[in-house]
Amino acid sequence: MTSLVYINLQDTDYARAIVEAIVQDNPHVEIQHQPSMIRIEAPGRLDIRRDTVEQITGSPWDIQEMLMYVITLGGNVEEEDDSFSLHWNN
Amino acid sequence: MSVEIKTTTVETIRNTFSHTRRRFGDKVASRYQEASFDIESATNFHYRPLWQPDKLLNDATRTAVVMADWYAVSDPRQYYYGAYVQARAKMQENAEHDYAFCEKRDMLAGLSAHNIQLISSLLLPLRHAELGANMNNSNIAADGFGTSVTQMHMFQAMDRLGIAQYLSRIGLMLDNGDVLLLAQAKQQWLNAPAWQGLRRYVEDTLVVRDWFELTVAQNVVSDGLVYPLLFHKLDEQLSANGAGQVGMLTEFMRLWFAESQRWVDALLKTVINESAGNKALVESWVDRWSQRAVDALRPLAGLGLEEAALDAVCSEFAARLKKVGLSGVKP
Repeated sequence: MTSLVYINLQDTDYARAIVEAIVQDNPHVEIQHQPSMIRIEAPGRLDIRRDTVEQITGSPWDIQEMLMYVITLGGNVEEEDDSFSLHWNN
Repeated sequence: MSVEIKTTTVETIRNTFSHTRRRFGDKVASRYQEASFDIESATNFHYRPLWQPDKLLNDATRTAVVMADWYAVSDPRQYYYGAYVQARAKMQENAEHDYAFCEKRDMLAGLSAHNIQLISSLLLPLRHAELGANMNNSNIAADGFGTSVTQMHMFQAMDRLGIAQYLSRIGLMLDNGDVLLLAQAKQQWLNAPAWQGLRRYVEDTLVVRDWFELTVAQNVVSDGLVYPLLFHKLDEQLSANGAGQVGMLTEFMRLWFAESQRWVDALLKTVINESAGNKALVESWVDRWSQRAVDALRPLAGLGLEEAALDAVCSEFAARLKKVGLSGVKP
């Protein structure tokens, strides 16, 4: 069975753009809207791409800015300039 | 005693304002959408303006361009007040850092007389043209229709004030804090034959009544030719002359120009794709004003820029217009 990777973001204006990008890039994710928090779960792998977020917000984005909105996350993190990926090495 | 912690979820009754919901659907809207669309009052005015009794206070017919819905125009940068101010604060912080560094190291002290001449005859008088651009964009913000359109012009107006101030600071720095060079620059703006074409252009645009013609004349044509010429070509030349440090002081303008072109192009694209009538109108305006602008810039280019500079700028501008979809014009 594949384990879930997950990331929880604060429910802010910017985070909603990130969530929209995640849904576009990862059709298999499940989004849960909780009070002032958005939980994103995906079996196996989750990718956040800088390009997609920039297209949605129309402004340049340093992917590390995302960490300001992160409450918690689960999975092995692979952080690049253009992408932020969560996955399990098993 | 045991304490039981439980969470209660409160469902929001509405996702967003009704007018935002009607335009974008019933979902959580972005701040940009909430702050920019269907905001301007369009109906139920009690009185017509005394200064223009044939129009309403906010009236979409102050331009010959016809749009079924002016809110079809949106800003690719998604700037509303908050986002705009944050973006500019960031840019300004960098610019201030560069200015402080230049001042601390006295980096303009070693400029050759020729380079100082280039800067004071080509860059410093431009601050008066920037003030004209500020007034033109304020005018458009007043006469235009649709918040998504007018706010972009208001931001543009404030940017131009900032750029005029940065140009003034270059003058102060070159003059060791004195205002002599700036006073000379004003005299050039008023009297030097080479500047009279551009001054004429600026002063004539101040009285253009059709606000879309004005945005074409100012933000598309004038900026589209002046910025590449005086902030790119001149900068290249200064660098080649060993005055690359001046580029630190004009970097704000280059960054700003690259950014502002995005919304200008998007605005043009939306308007000319609406109808053939709009396209013909815009093309006639671009034609008329670009001829005037090129004539006005030729003597300026003669003040010390390389001969091919203006022609290169013109062909880049033509390529940009073609990309936007205005194929029928040749500046």
